[in-house]
Amino acid sequence: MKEADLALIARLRQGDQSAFDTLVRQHQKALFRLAYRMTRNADDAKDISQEAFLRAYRGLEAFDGRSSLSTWLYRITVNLCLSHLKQHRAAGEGAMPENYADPSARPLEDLQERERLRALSEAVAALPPQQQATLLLRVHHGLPYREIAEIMESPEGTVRVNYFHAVAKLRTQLKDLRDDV
Amino acid sequence: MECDACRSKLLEYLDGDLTGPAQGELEAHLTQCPGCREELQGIQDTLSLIARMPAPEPPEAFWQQYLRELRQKVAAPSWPARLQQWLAGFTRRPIPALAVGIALVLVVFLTWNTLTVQPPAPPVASLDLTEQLALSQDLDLLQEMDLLESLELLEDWDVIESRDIPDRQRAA
Ligand SMILES: [Zn+2]
Repeated sequence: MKEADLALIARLRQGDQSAFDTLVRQHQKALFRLAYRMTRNADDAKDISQEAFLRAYRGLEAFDGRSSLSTWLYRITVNLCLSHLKQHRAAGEGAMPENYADPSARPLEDLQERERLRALSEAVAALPPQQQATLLLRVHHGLPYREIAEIMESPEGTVRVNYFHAVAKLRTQLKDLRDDV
Repeated sequence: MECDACRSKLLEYLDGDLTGPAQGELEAHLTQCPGCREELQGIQDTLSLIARMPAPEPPEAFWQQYLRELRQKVAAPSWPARLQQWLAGFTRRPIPALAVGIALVLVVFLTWNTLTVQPPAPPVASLDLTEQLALSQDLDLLQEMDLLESLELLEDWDVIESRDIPDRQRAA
C-alpha cells in the first residue's frame, strides 16, 4: 500500500475529521461516476457513493491494508451497485437514463453520435452486472486487470473474459445499429 | 493465420498483451486482410465510444453539500455506539432507568406470556399495564423507547406503544 494511504488510515483511526474530508475529496468523483454509470441515476449515484464512504469509515478496523484504499473503496461501491441493480432488475425496472447536464462536455457533434451513445448506454445497461462493472473500471477508470480482479474478488482470467465478452457484445450491437441506419 | 483466430486476439492486441511471434503473426494477417482490419477499427471505435459515455460533472457546491451530509452521517452514532450511550444513560440516570427496567420486565413477561399461553393474551390486558407505566412518562421513558425500539431486541414494544392504536384505528 502507498505511504500516503497508510498515513491517511492512521489519521482516520485517530478520529481525525480532516482525514475523513481528505479521503472523501480524493475519491468522491471516481466513486460517484462509477455508481452513476452503473445505475444511470444521479441520486442513486450520490447515495451509493456516500454509503461507500460511510461503510469504509465504519469498517476501518477491519481493513487489512492488503489492497489500496482506492481498490477497497471501489470494491465497496461495486458491491453496493451490484445489489442495487439486482434489486431493481428483479423489480423489473428498466433503468432509464436521465437527461444529465454535462457542462464540461462539448456539444455532441451530430445526431448520429448522439444516437450511438444512447444505444451504447442501453447496451451497457443490458450487460450482466459483473461485465458492466468490469468494462467501466477498465475503460473509464483505466484500471489494470489485476486491480479489477481485486475489486471484483474474481480471478484475473475471469475479469479478462468478462471484459472481452462485454466489448464484443457492444461492438456487435453498434455494428447492427450502423447496418440498420 | 485464419480470420477467426485473428479476431479472437484483437482485444488482447489492442491491450498490448500480444508479444513476440503471436504479435508478428497477427500483424502480418492484418496487413493482408481488409476484413480483419475493419474489425480492428470497429473495436477501436467501440472502445472510444464507451470512453465518451457521458457522466454528470456536478459543480463544487454539490460536493460541498455532499461532504457536509457525509460528516453528519459519520457523526450520527452507529448502532453499537447508540447502544453504548443508552447503557451509559442507564447508570447515569437511575430514575428513568428504573422505569425502563420495569418496562423491560413487563415486556419480557408479556413476550413470555404470548409465547406460552394459548390463546395469546388480548392486547387490552397490556393496555392496562401500560396505562400504569404511563405515569412514569416524565422520566424520559418515551425518549428511551425510541432507542429501544430500534434495538429490535424487543419486538413486543409494539404492545406498549399500542396505546396509540385506538387513535390510529379511529383515523383509519
Ligand atoms: Zn482476416
